[in-house]
Amino acid sequence: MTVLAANIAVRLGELDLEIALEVDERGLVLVGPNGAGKTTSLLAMVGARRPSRGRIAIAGDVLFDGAAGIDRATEERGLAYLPQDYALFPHLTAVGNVAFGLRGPRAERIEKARSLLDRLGVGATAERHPGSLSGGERQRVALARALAPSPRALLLDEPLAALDVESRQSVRAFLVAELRAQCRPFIVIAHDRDDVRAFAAPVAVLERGRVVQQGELASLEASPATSFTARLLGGPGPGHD
Amino acid sequence: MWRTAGYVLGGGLLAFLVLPVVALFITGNPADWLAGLRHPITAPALVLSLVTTALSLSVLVVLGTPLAWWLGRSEARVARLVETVVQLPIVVPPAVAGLALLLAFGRRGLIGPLLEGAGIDIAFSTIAVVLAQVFVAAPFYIQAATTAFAGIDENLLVVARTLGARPATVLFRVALPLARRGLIAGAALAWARALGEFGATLMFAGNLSGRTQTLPLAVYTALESDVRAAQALAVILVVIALAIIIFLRPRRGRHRP
Repeated sequence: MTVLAANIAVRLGELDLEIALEVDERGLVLVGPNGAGKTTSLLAMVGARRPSRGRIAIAGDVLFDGAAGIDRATEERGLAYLPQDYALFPHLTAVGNVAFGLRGPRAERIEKARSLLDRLGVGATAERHPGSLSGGERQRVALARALAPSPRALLLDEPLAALDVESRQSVRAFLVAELRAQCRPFIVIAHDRDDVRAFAAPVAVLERGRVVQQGELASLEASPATSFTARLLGGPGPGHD
Repeated sequence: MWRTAGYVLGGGLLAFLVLPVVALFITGNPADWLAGLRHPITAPALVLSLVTTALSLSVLVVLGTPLAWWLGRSEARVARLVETVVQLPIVVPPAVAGLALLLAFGRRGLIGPLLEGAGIDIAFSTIAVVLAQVFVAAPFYIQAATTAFAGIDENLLVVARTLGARPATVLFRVALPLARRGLIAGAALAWARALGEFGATLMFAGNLSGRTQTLPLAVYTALESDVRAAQALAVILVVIALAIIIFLRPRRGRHRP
């Protein structure tokens, strides 16, 4: 079993973040109000924000250790990151985006990228630029790109937020199935009750830089620790704000 | 009433801006220009201008791009300070820039003796021409490049790194292609400024035919002997300037944030 563990503190402007998260192949849904530090947590794990202290490791391989002076470069961490807007390279075609993270001769990279796009059901978009793709297509291309270099874990920042209501449901079902099939640890940020339920994974609630509750979805639904959790999961709250 | 006044005022300024350029073209005739082009002062100045501006632009792109990258991506307060310092050559009068360059790199300047010890004599040489051009043109390239780099979505750079790209790869395969338009526009403006450089060159490099006499200096020199030659050289400069403006305009229009 692969475990991604992050026990870190990050100070960034107003944000004072201190989290301890552990995620295995079952995945983890990260929820919390705006500004709670969800995105910053993911950025710190991939190495784009430097923690002031703490430790990040995957399958026992240390990626960051403040005390030991270990801080592996982002490109060496093997963690895939999917930002909310997908951040597809606008100057490259879909197949060029996917081939970006592959190594080897060009023809091989293109072929592998094509087959990945095919597998995710967007093979027809291969020669198109991101600007001309629909939200759902973009998400699949971005997912193909993230999977291409065989990452050790996937970090997804609100992968469903950019989608309209119609495409949201089908894309969500597809994404959930794909994440399950991958058998890699994943963290997905969500802010919608249906999304949280669909991922069917343990949930961590982040508020003002702290993990205020963590556990199985059912237990959070049964006894939400904060009014935010209660509102999000639709159960009765512990009281008023 | 107010609208009419606006037309008159704005139109007056427009006429004032356009009239000298029109005069440049219609007071001469093509035969005169051809004669001017054959004047002995013309060819060396044209060649020197093209060579020195190519050199100064190369220096500017090679040294200025990394600086602009840092200015565009850094949130450090010192970066904002440096950004202001880099703008200095725009507000410093060219003649003052020439004097300052002389006091820094001239034979008796700040680091002149050091350079002389190494056998390098910069003042009144072609190198001085290039240095003067780099000095006055730098802000135009650096500012445009900084803006172009600052406009790149950070997520694109982060994602590129997570896909295994080293910082240099990210620069060449993501950042430079995305900033391309801004870099080219900045380079074109900087080149135009370098090509037109007069004051600093005259002070720091002098006006020596074939060595430091660039097109603008040749216009000045030719005016004393042969107005036709001066006018022909001026027409060359204006045509180049117009070409640059036309080259830059539609690109700006197409640019989307």
